[in-house]
Amino acid sequence: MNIEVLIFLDALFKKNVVLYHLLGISPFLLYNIKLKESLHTGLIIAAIMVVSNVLTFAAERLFFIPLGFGHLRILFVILSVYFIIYYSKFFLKKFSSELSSLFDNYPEFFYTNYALYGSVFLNRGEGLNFISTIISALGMGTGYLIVLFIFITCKERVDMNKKLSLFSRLSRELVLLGLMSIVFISIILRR
Amino acid sequence: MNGNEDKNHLLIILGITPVIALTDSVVNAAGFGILLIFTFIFSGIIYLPFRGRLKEPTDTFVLLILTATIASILNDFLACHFPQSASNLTLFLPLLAVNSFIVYTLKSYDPQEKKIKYILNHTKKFLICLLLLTITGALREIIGRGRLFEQALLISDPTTYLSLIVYSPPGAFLVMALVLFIYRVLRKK
Repeated sequence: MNIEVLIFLDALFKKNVVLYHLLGISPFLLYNIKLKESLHTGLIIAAIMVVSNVLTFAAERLFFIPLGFGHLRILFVILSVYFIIYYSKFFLKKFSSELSSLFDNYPEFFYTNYALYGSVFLNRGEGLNFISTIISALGMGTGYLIVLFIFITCKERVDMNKKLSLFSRLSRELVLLGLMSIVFISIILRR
Repeated sequence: MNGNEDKNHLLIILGITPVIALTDSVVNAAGFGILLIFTFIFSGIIYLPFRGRLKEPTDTFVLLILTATIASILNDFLACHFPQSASNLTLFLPLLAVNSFIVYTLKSYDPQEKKIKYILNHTKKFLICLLLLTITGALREIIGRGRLFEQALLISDPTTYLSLIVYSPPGAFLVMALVLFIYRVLRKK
């Protein structure tokens, strides 16, 4: 199989950002997001992941490494990803107020989402080239979208059945994520 | 949901779930919990006097500069003095800067409150997180690898697993669910 396809599939299933690296879980449990909103949120997160990976890769190679500012890497990545997230809201506002309102209604999904920041650190750590970074970020974003969509679908059905107490709900949702994680890992084992 | 339940909800979701990946051993879980408390206290001491004086997004920007600087210092310190711990926490150390529990707690500070009292009150919540993370780490290490603190407990061979599913990523979710269930039962009593 082509190496780019393998990188994409790895990021999508085997090393899924949520179910393997366990990043960006808290917003899943924190909000009772609607199915349509989850689709929009997942798409926005995927787009932000790709943009932030591209921009941080370029800035690191063009400025930070040549100028010897490697020790400021953490500060630079955190601030640049935050700014991309922050200005994405205003960018989206030009096209749809419904999409930009997601940033206000579900801030944990964007501003402090470990998956968004973690994807940049993961790709840097792997030492991928520019094209592979884009493909990996796309795979991670798509993986996040798929997991979010499946999780919210299941969560809506469970919540619809009966009213659960807080800890019962949290425990059930964590078990659901655990089962999804087993399924995603076994997809790759059979590939 | 009443007020207390709401706070506990946030405590568990914001404090524990972001670092669920580090519960593969007691040392990692407890180590990261301690770093979380350290980052909170130091960011609080520097950030709280400025809280309410700056507008968004400058306020969040200043807070992120602060937490990211502390995370960078911790990263370099661990890499220098505890290289093993630094390599285990390699992805999560930079992410300390955007830990939602730290950001949420510092941003919900009311300037009329006493700063030291506020930091001490919230440090207790971080200690509960540390305790829950450590218990999860201990359970995963014992059931998953048959070891505790890297010492043989149930099996002597460090390369084998007692239960791979518990030690692998799905196990983190399942054991955390179990710990929360026990926490809930104990709270009811």
